[in-house]
Amino acid sequence: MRRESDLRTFMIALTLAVICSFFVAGANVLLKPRQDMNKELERKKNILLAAGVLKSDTDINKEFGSVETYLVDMKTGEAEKGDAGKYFESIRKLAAAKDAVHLSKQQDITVIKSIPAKIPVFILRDGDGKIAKVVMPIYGSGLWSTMYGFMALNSDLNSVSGITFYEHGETPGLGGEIDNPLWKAQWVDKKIYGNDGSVALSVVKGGAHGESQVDSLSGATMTSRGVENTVRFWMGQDGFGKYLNSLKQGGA
Amino acid sequence: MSAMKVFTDPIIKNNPIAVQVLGICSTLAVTTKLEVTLVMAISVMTVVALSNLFLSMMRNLMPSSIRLIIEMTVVATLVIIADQIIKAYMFDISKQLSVFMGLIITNCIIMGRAEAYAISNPPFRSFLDGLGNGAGYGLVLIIIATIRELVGSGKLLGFTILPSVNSGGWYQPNGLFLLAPSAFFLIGILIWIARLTVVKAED
Repeated sequence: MRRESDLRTFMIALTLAVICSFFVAGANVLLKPRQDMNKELERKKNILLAAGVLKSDTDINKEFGSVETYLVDMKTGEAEKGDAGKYFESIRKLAAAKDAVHLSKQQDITVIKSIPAKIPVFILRDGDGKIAKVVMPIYGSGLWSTMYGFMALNSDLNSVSGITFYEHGETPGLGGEIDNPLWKAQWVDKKIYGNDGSVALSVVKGGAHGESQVDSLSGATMTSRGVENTVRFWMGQDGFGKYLNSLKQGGA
Repeated sequence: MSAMKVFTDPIIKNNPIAVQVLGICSTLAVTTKLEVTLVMAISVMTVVALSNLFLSMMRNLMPSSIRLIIEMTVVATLVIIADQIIKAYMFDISKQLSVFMGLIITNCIIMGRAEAYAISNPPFRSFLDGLGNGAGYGLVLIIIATIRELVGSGKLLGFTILPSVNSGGWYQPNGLFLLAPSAFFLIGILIWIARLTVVKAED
């Protein structure tokens, strides 16, 4: 056995650490632009998917070109045209920023503590320039993870056009089934709001009835509840409720 | 042992999964679709071959007190780079591989080969040993994925082979084959066959 001084061991460990970190950092820096591009494409794909306009041969970037992006002020519900990139790159950071909207315990049904001050929404218009679909980013706590997705409403601003989740860490095969196209298909045309204007939609066990109920996922009670709370929060007055009201009254 | 045998032995005769029973976890997880399995197999093959090569080159420099840590660091670096490349160029597949790509780091085959072979053999042979073990791992993965995708969804590499009832055909897919337990059965049967033929022939 070779004699080993502590110094030699230390130097070798240090050299190896430097070399390895150089390669890891290099790979990260070189490939980041492409990975970001992939993520952005994935996001656009999900927005179009929620709006129900995605077909297998759709050119995502081209189709997305006609989608208008607005930034909604979460306190007032006012919206102005803007860019969505920054929001998706740093949702957590924006939710912890100084101007973020803090939620009280009662408001915070989906356990996210605070939300960014401005959140983008995407609007698709029909041939006459009227609103055809409104796609809103939503997120909330499931069983293990924060689930990020989109909720799209039809022109009546009440019935669901589609829901998708693009990032989550729920149990594959159980809660992970929120990705399942068959489950997501149930949501289509369900009514978010009841006659009194409050959020009526619920995720129920054992057979959904009526126009505002969705069947929960079997074996995934907590995830289903998380999805319900997420939808209820974002469609409610603390979420996009104010903005949707102003749209109904004929705003932009 | 000839250099050729170093490469071919682990493919069948000393197969890491069927004979040594290593690396079962990822075999259960990433064999529902052949396409994903191929990417996983190639990644593992590359990582185990390169980690064997680098560790063998460093084998005389390595202080024995931190040997395992060094092995871990080299393997982790290679896996992270492979993961980054797949995320950049095969985004859809990377989403399906999810955590299992990162978990290659803990795949017993890789550390096993580093410890058992690379640190006491010259670089070229270690590289071949890594390639052979990666190929042996890949072979088993491909066999299992072919069966699972065909029986479970009537497809191979995403192309419909047996048209399923849902899309107007006659084949009723067996959903069990898409769940992890089916891989357990298949691996079990495969190990049994390997024991009956390859291992028995040696005894």
